[in-house]
Amino acid sequence: MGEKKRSTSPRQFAATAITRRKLREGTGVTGGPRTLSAPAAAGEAHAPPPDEPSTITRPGTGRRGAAAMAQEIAPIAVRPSMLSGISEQSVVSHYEHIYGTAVRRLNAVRRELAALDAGVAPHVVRGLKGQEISLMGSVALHELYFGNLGGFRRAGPNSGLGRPDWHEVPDTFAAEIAADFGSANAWRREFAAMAQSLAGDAGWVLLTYARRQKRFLNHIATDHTQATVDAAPVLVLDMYEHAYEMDYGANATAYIDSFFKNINWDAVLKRIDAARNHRPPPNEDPSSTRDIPSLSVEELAAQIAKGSGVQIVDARQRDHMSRDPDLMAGATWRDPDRVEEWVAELIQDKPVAVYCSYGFDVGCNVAKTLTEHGLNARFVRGGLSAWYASGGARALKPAAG
Amino acid sequence: MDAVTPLPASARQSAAPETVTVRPLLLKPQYMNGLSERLLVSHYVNNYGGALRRLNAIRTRLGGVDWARAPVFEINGLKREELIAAGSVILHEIYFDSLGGRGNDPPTGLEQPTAELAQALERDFGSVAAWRAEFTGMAKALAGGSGWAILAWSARLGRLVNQWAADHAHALAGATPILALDMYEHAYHLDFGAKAAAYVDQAMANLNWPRIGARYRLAIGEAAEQDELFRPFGSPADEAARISAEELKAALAHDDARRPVLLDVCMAKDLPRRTDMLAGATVHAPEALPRWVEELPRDRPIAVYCIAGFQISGNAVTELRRRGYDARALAGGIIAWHAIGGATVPLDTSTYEQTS
Repeated sequence: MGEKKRSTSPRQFAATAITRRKLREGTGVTGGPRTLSAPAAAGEAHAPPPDEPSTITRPGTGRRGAAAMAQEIAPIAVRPSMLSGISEQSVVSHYEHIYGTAVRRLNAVRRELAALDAGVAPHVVRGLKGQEISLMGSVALHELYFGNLGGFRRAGPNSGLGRPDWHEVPDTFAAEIAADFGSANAWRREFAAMAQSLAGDAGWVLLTYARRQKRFLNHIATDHTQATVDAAPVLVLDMYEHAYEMDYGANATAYIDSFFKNINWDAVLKRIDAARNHRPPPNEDPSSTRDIPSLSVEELAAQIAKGSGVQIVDARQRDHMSRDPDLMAGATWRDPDRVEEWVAELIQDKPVAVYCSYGFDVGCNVAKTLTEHGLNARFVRGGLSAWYASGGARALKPAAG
Repeated sequence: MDAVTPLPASARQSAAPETVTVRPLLLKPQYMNGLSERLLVSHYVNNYGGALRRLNAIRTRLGGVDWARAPVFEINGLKREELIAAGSVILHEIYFDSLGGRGNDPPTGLEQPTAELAQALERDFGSVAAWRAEFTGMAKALAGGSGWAILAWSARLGRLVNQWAADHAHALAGATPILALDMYEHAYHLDFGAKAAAYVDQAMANLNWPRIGARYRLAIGEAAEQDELFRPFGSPADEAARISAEELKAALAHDDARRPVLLDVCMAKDLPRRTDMLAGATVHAPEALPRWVEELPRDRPIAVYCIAGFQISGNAVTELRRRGYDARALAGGIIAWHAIGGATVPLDTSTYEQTS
């Protein structure tokens, strides 16, 4: 592992996700200090909720103060139904329960840390800070993991998947990875063998770009905190058993094979590009390219808590709706394909929040249509799944008829 | 090299430092209270068996290390992996031992700690309920990750402690685990998904308190009534009437005359639970023994197995030995065989007796 040329100015790059999050928070100046205000967290003292956002909070448009270190739920970056061999049920459970719990716990730990006074016992500080770093790792690694899935369908029907000459590593990247590992296949073998070594145990396998050595490196993290110093994770494989037990039981080998088929190399290459050029990691929120007013689940929870009279529209497609027993508390389901039929029922001078399942297209499109009808409508980033992940309340769907 | 050992079982493991033998399941996986057979058997075969096989492979590798010349990273790596695998093996054995009903009965969910252990829990935690609240709370806090919730006896502290462990190698120095609850996701994800709390409550309703109580007695240096409690229900009491999976594997490598004849006994209602068998075995209905017994040679050893090594093979072996055959029951059944990585072939029921 010869150290190549040392980077001239090694940058501070701890907590990539937080950096990304801060950027995503957008114009924190207008909103004032914000805390996680999901209903599950009710009971704690909250900072006053932000005013009605007067600007569209878009990721990557500003910074916020470090005071309110609230971790927001990131929308799931992959369509859960689009994976090959990894079921929608498994990935949604992974996102809503495992990732969501990590975010909520992180906020709880930070609230405790903020409340500590000078006389606190050292073991308490150490315990909480240990939890914080572990949860930060879990949050960031999960976001990266979901974000580097989804390549199977994206590759398209003509990608040659399954043909003998098809390569799991795209040609554009093969030469680069070969420079550090001998060949793309050698890299894949090492990565897969490392994953295999964690079967039945827990941990992560990462391909990272080490800025100091200016090279790629595979490494194992046997918990959420192990990371190479000053290296950017660009491809992340979750080898905790929650990632595959539901689909594969103890058969980790099959899961690892599926993972390779599902790698979204577009996303990976964008991360590499950013890491190399000392830019923040790319925004992987699937709706970030849509120029439509939106709000986060935390902002929605704050609006509800404030009693803003926000009208919540569940715009999941009929088939999504029919297989799920519940919806967001306070929401009314409306068919996204028949907006014209129900748009007149909405109150014109009250804000509207529209959500779909995961925050990809449906909610955006409905919000757009509503806006065209003169309504103050926003779509909920991350959709219902993000709401549940944040601990948001759910209600039983009204009986049909 | 006896696999079915009376207590102190975990102590006995270290008596044979070269290899670690598989410990049979004491719980009946199909008769549990809200924990599925699929989950328990997968856990036992893949995770416990995997750790066991890994530990033996590491030990073999360690046997070949030239300690004076080996690079330190190799020594560190192997010794670390050995510690982790050994911890996994021992904690899994304590976990599986801690679960299950009494005898042939499923766990009722109403069992309470034995009087002696209850007293100790009261002494050290205030009450059994207070202990349970701390123990389950600690277990639930490990949700979504991995680790163990352990009740251990510390001679140094002179008390029982609830010990948190984030991996197989975490242990309170010098303490003896009494009860271990597996919080790795393989322990519950198949049945409960991410609902770890539901699993913890369900596992608590499956605890076998007599065995946990016996472990406590042993830990504090008292004698425990061992044999009955720590032997699979219905397996032959006589050690000579049992054969471990490892011994059977070795015996099957012998030439024809010394090679045991393999008998697979399975009740008709359990055939749907089966997919495979040992190569060369013949499958029979246990109640039809008088019909098939005549085919057996009297001059060769006979190995009898069933699914998990309880009373089905136990009763058959007892009857065969009464009739003068050299029969032994496979400890832990075909499940233990799977756990040591033994080879099998698809189930062939053409020899099975029709019973009406």
